[in-house]
Amino acid sequence: MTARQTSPSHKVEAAATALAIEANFDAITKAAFSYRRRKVYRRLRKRGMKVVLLSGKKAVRQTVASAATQDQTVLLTGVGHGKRRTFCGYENEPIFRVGQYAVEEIRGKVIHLLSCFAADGLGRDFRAKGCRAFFGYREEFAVPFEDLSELDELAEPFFGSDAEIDLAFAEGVPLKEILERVRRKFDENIARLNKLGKRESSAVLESNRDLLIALIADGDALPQSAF
Amino acid sequence: MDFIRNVREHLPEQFLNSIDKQLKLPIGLRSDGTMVSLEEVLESQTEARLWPELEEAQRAEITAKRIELQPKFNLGLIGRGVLSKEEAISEVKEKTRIGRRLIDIENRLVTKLIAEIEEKAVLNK
Repeated sequence: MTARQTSPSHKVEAAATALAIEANFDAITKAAFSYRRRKVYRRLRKRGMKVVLLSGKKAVRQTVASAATQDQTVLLTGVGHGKRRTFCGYENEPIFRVGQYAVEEIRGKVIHLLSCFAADGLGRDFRAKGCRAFFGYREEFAVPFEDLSELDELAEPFFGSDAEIDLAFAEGVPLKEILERVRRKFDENIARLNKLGKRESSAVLESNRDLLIALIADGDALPQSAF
Repeated sequence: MDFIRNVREHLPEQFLNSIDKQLKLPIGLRSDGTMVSLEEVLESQTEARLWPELEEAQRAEITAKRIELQPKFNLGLIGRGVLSKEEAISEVKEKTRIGRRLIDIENRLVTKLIAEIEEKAVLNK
């Protein structure tokens, strides 16, 4: 990744590092990891980012705290279960809890958590403590499936829509424009699923789209009317 | 809402095939409280209140039945894990937050489906 100086929100440092936290221990977090390993981290590396991957048993508080305080970490992206005030890693061990992490772990970073509720509690706490931006969901990110092969088939529209956050950031898209781009990706995948006759999946993906928010700069979510 | 009653003959076969799974699922309530499937609505002038005219509690009842009638149902929730069919039905019946989300998802699905049926029926009349 080359340094870009067009605006503060567009600036990406040389040798920037993405810290990827993957709970990767049950059907849904494994499916997300499988997709992101194949389709996201590879593309981040192609963009010149270094990806530090903490997956499964490595996705625990101590290793994350240590890696997150490295100077070059500009993006913190993760998949894990959680609650309004907590983001969990392997086997639901809490990694970030409101008020129980060092500010240095998140200050100045862009944070994207594919986890439930994180947007309202933890996301606002991250913003208040100085992260550059937070992307997350106000409720659970849902994926409907009949069996594991369907879960694999739906990885692209579901996890791919969400992953557009990381990809847009790596491409240097200004932070305030990322949510709009991600929503367009969701819309494309919603239309594609409809066209394939997968109306049930399409409705769930639409519901996920409407729960995604971005907290940027002043801590306020961008208004829905902007899209 | 009358636009989707008894319009089956005006709908392209390819479209009907694409909504095959939906045809057997309930979409409304008759005055005696029994549920009416989409297929019944499309094939007759059946007297029933359809989804857009139903109250929240009635939509919950229909959502639970729609989930129950699916041969296989799992909802992966990043945040909680995988919700089975039985758990999903229970969440809807108890009107929990997840239950209300499931009703909202059915609302999105059924509303779009009705609009699509209306559009195709009008085009082919």
